[in-house]
Amino acid sequence: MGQDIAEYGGAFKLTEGFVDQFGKDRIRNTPICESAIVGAALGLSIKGMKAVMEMQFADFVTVGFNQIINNLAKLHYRWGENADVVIRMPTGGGSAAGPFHSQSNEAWFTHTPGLKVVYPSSPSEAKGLLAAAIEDPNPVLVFEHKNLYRSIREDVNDDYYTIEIGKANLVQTGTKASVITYGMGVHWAKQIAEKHNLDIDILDLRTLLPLDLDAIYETANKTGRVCILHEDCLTGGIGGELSALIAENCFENLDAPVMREGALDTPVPFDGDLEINYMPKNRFEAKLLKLINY
Amino acid sequence: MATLTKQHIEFDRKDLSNKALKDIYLALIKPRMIEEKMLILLRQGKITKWFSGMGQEAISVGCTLGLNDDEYMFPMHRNLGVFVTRNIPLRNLFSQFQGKMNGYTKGRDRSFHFGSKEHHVVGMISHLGPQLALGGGVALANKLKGEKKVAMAFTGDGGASEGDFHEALNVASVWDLPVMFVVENNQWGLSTPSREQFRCESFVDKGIGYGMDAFQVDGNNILAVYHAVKEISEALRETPRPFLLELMSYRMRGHEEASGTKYYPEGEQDMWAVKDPIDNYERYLKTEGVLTQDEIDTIRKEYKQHIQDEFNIAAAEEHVPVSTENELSDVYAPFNQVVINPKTETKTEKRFIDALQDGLRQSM
Repeated sequence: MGQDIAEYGGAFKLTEGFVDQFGKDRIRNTPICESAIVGAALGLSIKGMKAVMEMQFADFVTVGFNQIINNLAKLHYRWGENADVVIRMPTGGGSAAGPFHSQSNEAWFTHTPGLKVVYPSSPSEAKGLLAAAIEDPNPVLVFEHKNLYRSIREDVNDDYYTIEIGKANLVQTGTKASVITYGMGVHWAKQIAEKHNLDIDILDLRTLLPLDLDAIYETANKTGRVCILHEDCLTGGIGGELSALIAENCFENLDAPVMREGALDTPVPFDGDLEINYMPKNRFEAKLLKLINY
Repeated sequence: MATLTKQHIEFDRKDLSNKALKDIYLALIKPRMIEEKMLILLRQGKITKWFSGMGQEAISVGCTLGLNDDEYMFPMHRNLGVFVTRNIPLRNLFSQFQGKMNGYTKGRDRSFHFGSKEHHVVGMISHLGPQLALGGGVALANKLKGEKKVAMAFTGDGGASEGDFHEALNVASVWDLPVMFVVENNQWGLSTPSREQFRCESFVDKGIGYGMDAFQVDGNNILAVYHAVKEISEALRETPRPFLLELMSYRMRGHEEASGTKYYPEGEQDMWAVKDPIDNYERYLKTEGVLTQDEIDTIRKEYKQHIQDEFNIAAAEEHVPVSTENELSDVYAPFNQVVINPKTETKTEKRFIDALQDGLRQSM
């Protein structure tokens, strides 16, 4: 279910051809009623049916927020019924789309017990994580960075497969420092690492809730120097949580303070130059080098 | 139990037999008697909160009786009669109210904030609008599965101010979902009277706005409610579409026991007291020769004992043992993910969006 997802194929054309293949009963164009559609998805789940809802932009999740936070997330804890609902969230900035089409709001949901949050960085993982999210009987938010939709490609298996939810992935390995990141951050980290020929671990979280604590502690303990990177603004982003976990659990192995970079603590600006400045990539580059040389 | 000097509600039995009328009475009296018990327990400090639906029983009971038992209902905090009429065991209900293990939430949520799929009842969350959309979702599932069933979701004259009311009715109308939206208009939302809640004359007027049929019934008339729900639901099962049913009543005891009714205008409660759904129905049944006062007394006495017995069972229960591990492990529905590997090694180059599309398509 989602706005314009049937004949139109969705704002990003992700569901192009679906209504022809699966029919109008299953591919449902919706009125602009985010809250009611999340609610309808939960109603379907009560009757044993799985539902996938496309938020046209992650920014619009706020108008369905109550249903997610207070119905989907709390349902199983309260009376043992599950909310078998996936909400797909086209997210992220970098396309001069302004404050309401560019937000990173995953931290609202990682802060809400009862939800699962996945955030792939590569095509092959996007396929496997989305399939896994749909298979999981719990409510899962799937963040899809819209700037990655058409800008990255790789060889992806044609068959159906899933990837483990709750498991991070070491995209690259090294010894001098660890970068813990996800989504667009993975690409920024790889670019910076290549530019400076850095001998670092890059841990792609892939799942933001539940966190792969083993992988996080393993890389932190191994290198002793950690920088967390996310596109989300710095204050209140998940980086703070990760930093605290590492500081408390890996303290004796740390050779430097745990560092973080995120976007500026402002809404996402529209103008291209303003937006580049808003994004953390340049500040991250400086900080990572500082960390390695600490 | 007041003694009326005349009939203040006119009943039309249509083709209901004496037995049917009596069965309806048996259902109607139960939530009233349970509430009488709850008020005593509240004064004794044995329960901490109660949101009284006294005076509104005909709505909950009439609606439940008018539907089939396997049709989902989404009641709110004054719809005790829904739970009781669906035969949810009182010992479990009382356990739930006391936050004990034989309730429905392992002590994790209070009062009517629970569901029971066995009884086809999904209770509320504290926010007053969201469950209307869930009712629509269940109706959608029924329709997609080809099941001739309706769903029914409740809200109040206050709750209907929520944006969720608008969205749920809009979606149900656009998608022709067989769901009845019941607006239980008891004319108060906590301390806010209807004239400060909305400006339309009646919720029936909103039907036009949503392209939906709407109807108003005297919510204190058990037979009128029952007949209306029965007829409307039969029509919706045949031709799936939503319906807005406004049931008029009065909130006799205020929002919750703690908040009182000092703000009620002088005389309003007295005006409605003579329209009590049970007093009027009892008088009618005696006039029709369906029940005698002695029979009524016996019914009440037996049920009062049943309530006491069930309450004693719940009261004797221990509180839920505290276990951090249990609390954490119930946050998610259990699911041991077994990673599914691709069957072959065949790969093609895909963009991020193509891969997502693949994953979605193959999951359908």
